Amino acid sequence: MENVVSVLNLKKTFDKKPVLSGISFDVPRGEIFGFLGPNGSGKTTTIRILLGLLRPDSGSALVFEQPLETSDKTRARVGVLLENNGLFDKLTAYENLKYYAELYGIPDVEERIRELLAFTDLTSRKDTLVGTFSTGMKRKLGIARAILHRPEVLFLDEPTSTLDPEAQKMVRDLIVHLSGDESMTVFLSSHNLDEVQKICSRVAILHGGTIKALDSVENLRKNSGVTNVRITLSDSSQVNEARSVVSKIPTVTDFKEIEEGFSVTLSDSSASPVISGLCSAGIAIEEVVKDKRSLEDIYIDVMREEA
Amino acid sequence: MNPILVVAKKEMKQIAKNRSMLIGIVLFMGVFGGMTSIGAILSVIEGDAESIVALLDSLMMYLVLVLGVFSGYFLSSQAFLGEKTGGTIETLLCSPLPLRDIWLGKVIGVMIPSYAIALLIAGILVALSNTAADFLVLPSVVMILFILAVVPVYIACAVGILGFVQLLLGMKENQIINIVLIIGFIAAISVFDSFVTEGLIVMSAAVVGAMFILGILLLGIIGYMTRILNREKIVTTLP
Repeated sequence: MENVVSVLNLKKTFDKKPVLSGISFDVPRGEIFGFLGPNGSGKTTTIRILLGLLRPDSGSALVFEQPLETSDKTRARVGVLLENNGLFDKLTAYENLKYYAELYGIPDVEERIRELLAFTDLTSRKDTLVGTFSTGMKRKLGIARAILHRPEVLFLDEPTSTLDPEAQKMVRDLIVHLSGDESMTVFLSSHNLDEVQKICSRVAILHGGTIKALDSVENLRKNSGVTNVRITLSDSSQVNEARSVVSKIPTVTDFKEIEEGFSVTLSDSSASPVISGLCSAGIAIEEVVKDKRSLEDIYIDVMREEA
Repeated sequence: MNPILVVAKKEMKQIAKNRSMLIGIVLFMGVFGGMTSIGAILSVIEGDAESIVALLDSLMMYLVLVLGVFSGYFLSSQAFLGEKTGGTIETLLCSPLPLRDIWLGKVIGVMIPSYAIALLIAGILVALSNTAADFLVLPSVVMILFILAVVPVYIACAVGILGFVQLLLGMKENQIINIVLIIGFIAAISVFDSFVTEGLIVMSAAVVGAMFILGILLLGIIGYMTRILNREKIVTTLP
C-alpha cells in the first residue's frame, strides 16, 4: 500500500539540544495514525517538519514522497489543524472559510461552506465575528477549515482538547468517516488516549525524541506481557485472606482491593495460578474477568520505563 | 481569483474592521498633519495664487508621503506581526501559497489602504488651501504625478521592508528595528524635502520620474531580499 507519510531517521536539534534522535515510521493511505507522547517529547517538532515548517538536520520527512517545504502542489493535498485554529478574530465564520476556500481554489465554494457550517452546527453563527466565539466553537470551525478543500491527508494536533464530550464524539465520528468513506489519511497527535484507542489503527509513542512503541493498539496490548484480572468473591470479607494467598504467587505484581473483591496485575497472561490458589485456600470465587489492557496502561508503562 | 489578491483582499477586510486601529491612525494624522500644515496655510491667506500653489505642493510632497508611510507602518503591524503573534501564520504557511506570494499579498493589502489614506490627506490639503484662498487652488501637474506614481511605490517599499523584517525576526528585535526603519524613512523624506525647500532640487517631471525608477529599484531589491525568508525562520521566531 502507498505510504502517504514517510519519516526516515529524522533528526533535529535546537540550541545543541537534540529534540528528535533519528525517528522512522510510515503511514499508509487511509490509516488513522495516532502520535502520542508527553509535552516536550518531539511531537510538535515532527509535525512541523512534516508540514515543511521546520527543516530536519538529517533524515527525511516526506508527504506523498515530497518535502512539503518546497512542494506547493503537494501542500494543497494536505489539511492541517494545529494548536492554533488558523482563524481570524476580526472576520466572521463565513469570511474565514471563504478566505481559505479562495486560497485553495475550491470550485464549489458556497455549497462547501454551507455544508461544513451545517455539519459543525455553526450555520446560525455564520455572520458572527470569530473573536466572539467560545473556544469549542472556534475549534469546530477550525476543523471545518482544515477539511474545506477535501485534503487527502489530514494532520490534527489535539483536535478535541477544548471540546465538550458531545463535540468530541462529533469530531471522532468525523475522523472515522473521513478515513473510511473518503479514504483520507489522518495523522492524529493527541493526549486523549481513550480517543486514540477508539479510532486509531496504529500508534507511535514518542519519548525524549525517540519512538518507544510503534504498532497497532491490539498488538501493543498483546505484546505488553501484562494482564489485569478482576475477581469478585462470594464472601467479600475474605479479601484479606485472598491477599495473603495471591501475594505468594510469583506472577502477581500488583494487588488492589475493589468492591466485593480485588484486582491483580499479572506478569503473564495466565490467571490459573491465582484461581487454583484461591480454590485451594477455600475462598469461593463469584466471577473472574480478564481485562484487556488499555492504551493508557501501555502508555504509562512506556513512560515509567523511561523514567 | 489570484491567491496573492486573495491575501490582499483579506488584509484590507481586516483593516477595515479594525476600528480602534483606524481611529488611532486618524487621530495621529489629524494631530501631525494639523500641526505641520495649518500654520503654513493660514500664513498665506493673503498671498498670491503662485505662492499658495507652491505652498500646497510643498506640503503635499512632505505630508502625503510621510503620512502614507506612517499608515503603512501602523497597518503592517497587524498584517505581518499580528499574524505571528496570533499564530495564524503557521496555518497560512501550510497552504499551497509560496512564501513570497504571502509576503506580496500582504504588502498589496496594506499598501492600498495606506495609499488611500495618503490620497485622503492630499484631498484635505487641497480643500484646506481652497478654504484659505478666494480662488480655486490645485496642485501642480508635477505634484499630481508625484502623488500618483511616487507615493504608492514608496509606501509599498516601506510596507515591504517592514513586513520582511517582521516575518524574519523575533518580537524583541522587531520592536527596535521597526522604529529604526520608520525613523530612517521619515528622515530620508525630510532631508529630500529640505533640499527641495532650499532650492537644491527643483521638482520637475524628470525628478519625479527618477524618484519613481529609484522606488521601483528599491522595491525590487526588497523583493529579492525576501529570498532569504523561509518557513523555519518564521516559525522559530513565533512568540
